[in-house]
Amino acid sequence: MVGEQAKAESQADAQAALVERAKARSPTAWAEIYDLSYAKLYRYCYARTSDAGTAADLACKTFLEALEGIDRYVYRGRPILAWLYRIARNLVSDHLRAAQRESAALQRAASVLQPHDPGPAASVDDWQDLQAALSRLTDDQQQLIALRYYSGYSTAEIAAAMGRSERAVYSLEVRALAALRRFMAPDSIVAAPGQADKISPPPQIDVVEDP
Amino acid sequence: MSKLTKSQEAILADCLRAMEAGTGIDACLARFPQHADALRPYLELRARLLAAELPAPHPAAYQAGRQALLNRLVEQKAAPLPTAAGPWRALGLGWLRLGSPAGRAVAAGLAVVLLAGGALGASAATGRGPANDILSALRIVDRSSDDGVVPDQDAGAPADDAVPTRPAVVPQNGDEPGDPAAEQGAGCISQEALDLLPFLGELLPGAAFCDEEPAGPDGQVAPTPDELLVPTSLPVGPGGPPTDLPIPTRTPPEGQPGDLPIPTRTPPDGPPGDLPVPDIADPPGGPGGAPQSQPPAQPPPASQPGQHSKPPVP
Repeated sequence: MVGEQAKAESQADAQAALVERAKARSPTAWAEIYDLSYAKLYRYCYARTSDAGTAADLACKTFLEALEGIDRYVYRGRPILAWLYRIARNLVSDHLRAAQRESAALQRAASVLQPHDPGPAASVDDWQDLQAALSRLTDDQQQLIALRYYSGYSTAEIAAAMGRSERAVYSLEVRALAALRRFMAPDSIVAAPGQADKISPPPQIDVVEDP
Repeated sequence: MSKLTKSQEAILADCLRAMEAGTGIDACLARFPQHADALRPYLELRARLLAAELPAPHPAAYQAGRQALLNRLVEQKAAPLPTAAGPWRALGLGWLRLGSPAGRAVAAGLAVVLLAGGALGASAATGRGPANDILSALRIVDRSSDDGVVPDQDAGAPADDAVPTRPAVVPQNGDEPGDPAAEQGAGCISQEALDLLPFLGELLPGAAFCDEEPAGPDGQVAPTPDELLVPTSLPVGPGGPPTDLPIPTRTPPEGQPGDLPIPTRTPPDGPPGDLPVPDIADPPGGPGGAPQSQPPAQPPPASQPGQHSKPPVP
């Protein structure tokens, strides 16, 4: 426990130092921030827009906006990634409102996979299906799914980014998974390697009340 | 398809927490055998999503974004541009919000400097030497309170990034012959000053208001700082402004040799502390700026000379 606390303090100190260097417009500091955060922010933007080019543009804009606003940023113990996420979220929201693309996410999902390594077919189907189902979730649920499964944020990072407690993040994830499972096509639930015998169909029962 | 009950949702959240710590699906569900069948599909969906290949950014887009960021850094270092905060920030006054108490206090400070612009001519008209100029005292005060009038500089930012300070506040030719302030001879607050700083009358209760606007050399009314004359408590004499006063300029940017001459005359009626200087409180959270939830700083009392602090950063 003491070791974990010391590690957390060390990470916080490193973050604080990084923020100060970024405020001083240090190119190495900004390159470090970019290299550490770009992939996660890109995936988040991709999750929300379903377009690789748009996701790249928005991710790039996120850093430029961060550069403009770094003077107003005050490090309060949360990772800088949480702040970058908020910027990205605002940019994505503006983009979606302007372009009205939420309804077109399903069509884009099929075409934007070309720039990426398609990988196994199951993964492609999963992401296509996921994109379609994702558009039907609430905004908070979409945020969480994008952060957790696209950007690979930990629960602590999601909590910092969304301004919630970790317990609230888990509760939101439960509801998001439940909603995804309702909206994803039944035949898209393909077993992962080694788990084919463990998949069971959902029980067809009505809503039950707690005893 | 069944919906989860409240208890099942709580169990599932507990399982998610355990799986994030490294516990397997079977180990999680073994603790709740009566709910295993209902919860297993959700945990498997989660595991499959986590195991799926993530969309990777295109390398060219990654490099292009990185270069754009570094290019922007170079541009900022070379020539700081106005930010989205608008022209106020470009003038170094992005923190100034006249609607806030702190903004009013700073406006009062600016008013003092504007009035002192007239004091230069007025006191010069008395024929006194450089040692008696209240403006020099105010300028000395201004330099010491530069952080209060000039926007807070970024920590670590090089000095040559500073935006111009008070371009329209510090008069540069208030001691020239024919100065309307000196010719008028009496101290008063003009309508232009009131339009610019509505709180001026409240902050300077001893000052008189001008009935007529002084005309410039061409007969036109020019709303320049020279029209803002000193309060009537400062004497104004005949003879016009002296011609031997150095023209005040701002501190040269870093790298240039020498300091430019600064007038050093003391006020005619006592030490610099006689003239009230607003107290501008430090921003909460330090010079790096405060989040939008910070409350505005309280305005200082007007009768606290010699106190200076930094303005809040929006």
